[in-house]
Amino acid sequence: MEQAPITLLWLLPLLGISIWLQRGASFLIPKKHLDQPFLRSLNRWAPMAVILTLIYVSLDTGLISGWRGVAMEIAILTVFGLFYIITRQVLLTVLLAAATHWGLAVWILPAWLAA
Amino acid sequence: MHLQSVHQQSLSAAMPIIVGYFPIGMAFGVYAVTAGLDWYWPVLIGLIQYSGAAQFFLVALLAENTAPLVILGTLLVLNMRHVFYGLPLLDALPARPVQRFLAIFWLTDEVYSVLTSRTGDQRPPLHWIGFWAYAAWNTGCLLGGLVGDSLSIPATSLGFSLTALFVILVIEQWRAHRTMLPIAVSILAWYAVVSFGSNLSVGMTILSVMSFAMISFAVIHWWQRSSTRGHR
Repeated sequence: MEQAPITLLWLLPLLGISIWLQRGASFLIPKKHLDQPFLRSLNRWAPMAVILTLIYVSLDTGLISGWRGVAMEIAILTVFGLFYIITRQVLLTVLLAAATHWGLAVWILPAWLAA
Repeated sequence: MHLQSVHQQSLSAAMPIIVGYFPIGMAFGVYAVTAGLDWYWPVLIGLIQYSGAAQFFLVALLAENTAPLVILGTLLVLNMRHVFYGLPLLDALPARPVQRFLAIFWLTDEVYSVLTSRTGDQRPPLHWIGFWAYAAWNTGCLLGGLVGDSLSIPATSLGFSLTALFVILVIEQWRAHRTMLPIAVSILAWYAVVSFGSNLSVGMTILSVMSFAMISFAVIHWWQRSSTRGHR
């Protein structure tokens, strides 16, 4: 890592510029194209597809590795998804889901695995 | 809309992102310092690069003495999915140049997800949501860099709050547009990820390539339509 600070001095600005260009690229499309049927259709379903895929790749974040960890996280997300549908409380749902995950990871699962 | 209510609405909408970003930012700070960087590098990387997963990859690649151009190329591919994110938000971009510049820079996965789940008056300004997320992330990076590895952070569990937020946003999207197409497309994307070993970097790369392909398809479609109209 001795060379890392020197590399970062010139690499970081390039990375910053490249991410800005990537994030800004689609804004170059003129607004008049918003009425195109293809774009209207894309805007209707693409965000949900992106978010769903982000959920899939975010699963298995450290409860138990493998399918059991994924299954537990899906169960937590299902329970708190239902909780959100009933309560409509975004922050409370998010915090309770994280707290449940933490409780399982720190206390319940280690005790269960040790038993 | 009154300025104060805009701020309140933005902060309220950004709160779940803040809750998730702060601890993950801290985890990044700790990770970077543990890897051998000085305490100020995590926040500098966060301020300039500002792309969660790519920041972790940057430090990992630096720690392995990877060639800088390879790092640049890898992170370009990893972040390619962002090319796609402006499309549903074309009408949400602020008018002022500085706000516009910052709003584009602050458009992350989570900011995109929150904004696309709201429409019209319910949608807070892009740059304000982005600002709160940016502030939370970089405060986390700074604190993580300062405390180093002396603090145990439950980053994975608090990071799970972002997954929970995504579920909420999917519920809201489903209420707005009841279509099965996103489910089919995301299952295909997920299958592609699993086929390549359930690896996050591979997954993100696949998402990036898919997004790039979709953008190319859209551009070709528009180009064909406009040239057809031009011939009439």
